[in-house]
Amino acid sequence: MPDLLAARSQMGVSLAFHIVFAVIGIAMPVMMVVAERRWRVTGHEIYLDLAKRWARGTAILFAVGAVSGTVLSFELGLLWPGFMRFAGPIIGMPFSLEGFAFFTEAIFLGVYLYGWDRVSPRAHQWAGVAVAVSGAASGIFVVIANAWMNAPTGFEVVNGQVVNVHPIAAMANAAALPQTLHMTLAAYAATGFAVAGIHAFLLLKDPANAFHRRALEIALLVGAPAAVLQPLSGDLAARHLARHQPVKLAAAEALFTTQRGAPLTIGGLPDVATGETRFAIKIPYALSLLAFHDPQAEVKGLDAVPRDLWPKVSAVHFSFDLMVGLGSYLALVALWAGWLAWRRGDLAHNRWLMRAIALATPMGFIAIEAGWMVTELGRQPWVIYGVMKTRDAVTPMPGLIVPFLTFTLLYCFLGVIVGWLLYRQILRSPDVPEWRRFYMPAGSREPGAGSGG
Amino acid sequence: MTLADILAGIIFVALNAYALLGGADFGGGVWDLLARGPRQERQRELIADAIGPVWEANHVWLILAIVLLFTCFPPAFARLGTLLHIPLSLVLIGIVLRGSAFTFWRYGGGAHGDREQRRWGLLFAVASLITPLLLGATVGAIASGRLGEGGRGTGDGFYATYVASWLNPFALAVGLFALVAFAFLAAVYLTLEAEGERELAEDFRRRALAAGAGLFVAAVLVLVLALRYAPLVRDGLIFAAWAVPLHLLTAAAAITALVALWYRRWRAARLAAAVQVSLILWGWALGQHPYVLPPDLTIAAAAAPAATLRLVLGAVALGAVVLLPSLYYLLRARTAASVASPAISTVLRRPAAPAAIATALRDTPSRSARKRTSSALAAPSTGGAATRILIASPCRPATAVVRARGATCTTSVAIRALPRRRATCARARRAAATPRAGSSRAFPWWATDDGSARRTSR
Repeated sequence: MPDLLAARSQMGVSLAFHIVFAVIGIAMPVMMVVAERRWRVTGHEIYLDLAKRWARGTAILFAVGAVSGTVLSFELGLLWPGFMRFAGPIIGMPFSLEGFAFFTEAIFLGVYLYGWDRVSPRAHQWAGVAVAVSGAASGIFVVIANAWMNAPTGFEVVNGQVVNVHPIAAMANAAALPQTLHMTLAAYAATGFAVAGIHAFLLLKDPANAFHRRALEIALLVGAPAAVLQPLSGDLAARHLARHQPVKLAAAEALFTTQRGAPLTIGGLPDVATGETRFAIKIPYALSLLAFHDPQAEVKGLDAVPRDLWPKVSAVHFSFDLMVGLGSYLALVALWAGWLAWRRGDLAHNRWLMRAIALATPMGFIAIEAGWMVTELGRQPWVIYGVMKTRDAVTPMPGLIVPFLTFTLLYCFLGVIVGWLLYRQILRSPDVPEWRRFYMPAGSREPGAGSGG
Repeated sequence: MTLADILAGIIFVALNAYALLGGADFGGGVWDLLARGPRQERQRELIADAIGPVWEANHVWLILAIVLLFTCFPPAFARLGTLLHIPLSLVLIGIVLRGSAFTFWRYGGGAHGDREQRRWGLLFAVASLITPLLLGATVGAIASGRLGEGGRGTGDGFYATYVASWLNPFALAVGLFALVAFAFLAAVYLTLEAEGERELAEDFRRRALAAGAGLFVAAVLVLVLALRYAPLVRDGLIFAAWAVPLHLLTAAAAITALVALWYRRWRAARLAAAVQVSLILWGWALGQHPYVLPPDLTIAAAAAPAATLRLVLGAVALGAVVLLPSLYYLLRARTAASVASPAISTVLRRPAAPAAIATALRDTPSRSARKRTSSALAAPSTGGAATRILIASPCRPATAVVRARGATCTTSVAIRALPRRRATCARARRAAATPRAGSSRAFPWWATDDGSARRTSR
């Protein structure tokens, strides 16, 4: 394996691993805060139990996210010293801000987790809010840094030297708004649906279980609106691409030739040699319509740039279709659930809806991973679009396959452990029928508790 | 003093905080590994309780130092990442294993003391041992000036470029010094944490005194090796104008720490130990000033453009305004618990009447209502004595009885650890709710009826 590929793979694995935890760290605190708020208002113990369980889940996932995030911040230098030497002064600013936001998140998560009986209820609630807000902020700052790699601004290069650095202008780059919006919504949608899906699966067996019903409500409350809004932000992102990164859009849509009235290509096998996509569904004019809101608009194809500047078309196209497909599924399920809730239906007893939500459990996360594949693979061979090639940024250190394999093994190990711990948490969900109308906290239950008296 | 100097100072402050706080967390892991004697389990519990709420916040100091370093001094960061790729990767693996093992240990959900939990504890402890060693070795590599010459390291070839700088006696001695210093800090801090448990505090006092002696030995070792391997730091530490006062101050702090430990002045010992380690760190920083990476990369040469530095300084100021009060609040909230003295409190609860009769939607199904007819047939009678047959399967109770209204309930509750409560009355067990005094809607009607609950701490 060449060193460049090993370095890219290691970075990719680290990001793919970290992003799951980062995303949960953004959305899970929101659910935890909502549950706690409902407990304070209604006095129903079930919400307290939910809040505590979600807080415990957040603690596990946040810790893994914190350490894998540390790995990433070091890896920027370990793997891409060329990139950091160039970009550090320009785009270090959002990273610094992210550092502070992350610090705030860690502090208040400590207060939240250990403060149930140590700080006042109001302070505890606000600590949860602080965790949720700073979690979202740190995500936004990191995505801004990535957006700059797609739309670099805020500096000039004179004789190979970087001059006139404006970190604020770099942060306010053209890609920042569409990317942060898309990513933040994705975090809420994916986490919301993952949690809702798990509880929906358990509700299929036991629709009267009050614990799962409440959990489902809150998870959908967080996930469904984001999933419905996500296609709109996706449209914003695609229109941004059409103007600023036409190559990425062309690769995502497998559009080989620049044309007016470009079709939307769904599925198929892009063949770079012939410049055709076989077995694809083509919807005429749809791409022009989506990208420019005009069926006759000209959309740039891959032929707009030389062949050696093409990203890997098949991977980008496949990831893009996967992301759009899964995202659309989530949006439709969210609309369905929203419509039922508006009609005051009993969601938990609608078995088909529960099946659809249970099926959606991993989809948000797969869509997120696919979306990052689109944006990262679609930018290749550039690391800073139009400014610096990835191969110029990589470390001169040889034998990079060793750290790649080491970290991959480490992450596999951690992934299995975290999955198993969460599975065990879920297995311990309380079994409270709705009709009982009261609720015993999990800790006080012992085998045979119900047979007494 | 230039803007770059100020930011280099700020980065070093973050590193200093990481050494004092995050370092002590690593030291806690060392003592977890070395837990011995009759109070072995109690020692581990104390370490875990002390680290638990704060280790993530402590860890972020390192992230902060790193992001500030790559924003303000990108060439230094790039060179560090290239030449110290191997030890830094190992440090990262140690950090990942330490943090996740600790979390799995604490939140894994298994019972305390069971074998699986102990395995996580062991992994946490071993990772805590190795990480400081390597972290110290990277510091040794920097201080010895082996990361110079235009980023090519000390020679040609893989070993000379990527390994020799940190795998040598001096760097490893610095690693050992870091490990002992972290263990010393942890033991000193833990004497204070153990306040109220005399024997436990004595355990850590002995450990702190031993580690203090070990620290002295390690310091001598580092200094002797520095004579040969780290000329820059050596010259700074011996010939500079500030050298003698700094040494005197450090010695004074070290002696104060040991004397305070001897006389069991825990607070004074904590302060003196922190000052001592900080002074040693600043001695290193002053020794290699004005170089970020001696012998050729100065602070001025490595600094980012002034526009970036000014903004980062602003961000740091803003961040400090938010962070420092928050951090103080966290530490205060953490210590607030240790003063919660156990006491028996008897709470007699008499609820307000239910606001309205709550009627379930449709019916009250006994199990998953797949067919409406069967669920309707299974509907229970109302009132106190209804007997309910639930699904008979191994994991669920075969029957459940809704208790009669007006039953008196006695619940024995641990005040701090709510989930551990034990109910003495099987009926009350279901009804046990967290008592929240002073709120009229604190208790749903079902929680109490006419009952009373007695809270007894264990």
